[in-house]
Amino acid sequence: MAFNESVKKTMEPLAWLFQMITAIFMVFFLGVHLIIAHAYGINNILFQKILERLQDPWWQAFYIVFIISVTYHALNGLRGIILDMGVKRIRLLNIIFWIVAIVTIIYAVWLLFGIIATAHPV
Amino acid sequence: MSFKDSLNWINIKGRHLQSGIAFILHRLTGLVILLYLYMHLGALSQLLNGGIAYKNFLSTVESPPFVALDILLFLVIFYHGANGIRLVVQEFGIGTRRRKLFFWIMMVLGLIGWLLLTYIVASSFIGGA
Repeated sequence: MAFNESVKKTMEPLAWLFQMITAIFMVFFLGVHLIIAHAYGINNILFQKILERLQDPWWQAFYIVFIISVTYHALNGLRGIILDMGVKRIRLLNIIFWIVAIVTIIYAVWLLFGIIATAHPV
Repeated sequence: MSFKDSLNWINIKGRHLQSGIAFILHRLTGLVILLYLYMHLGALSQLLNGGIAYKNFLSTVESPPFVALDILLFLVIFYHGANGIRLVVQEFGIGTRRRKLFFWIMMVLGLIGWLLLTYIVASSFIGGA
């Protein structure tokens, strides 16, 4: 008997595929994030240290991909839960999902560059 | 959508008990992480207020109750991650015959990861690094 342990049966194939891809991304991105933020004590999350790190374009790219992956994975997971509840207005649910996802990503990227800008006050 | 339907997201009917519990925990931990994601994004906005405001914020979140909550959050993340890796690997047809064993192997690995991170965080906190 094949056990149904995930939302594979509920989600659309493409949404499921991206859920898997972002899950793999998350292992790397969240892993690095946890190590950077917590494995070096408080030193690595001091204001100046964060600003220094965020000046690096590689870290900027890291956080942008991380933001997109985590937002998609988290909100699509929530969408899967709501779909499992038997919601009828799937189209409306999908529209809300994309609006919330895009707003979250825009806010988080704006926050990222806002923090970087504090290093160079006008 | 009836009340019965609304509970479908934690329905383990037709599932093996262990697999069903793993499924429910995966969803519950996912919801906790989703909630934390938005709290984290909100908290990070403190960085926009400059170094002094951020330092004050940091002194609050580095207090023992917050560190304890952080460690609990790590447990939630490590469970979701370890079980999630198992689900992805099984998608490739690996470990599908020994699901129960695979699950427990991932749980042990997740627990080791959590204990390691907890030790690092706790020792740097106690050491005042």
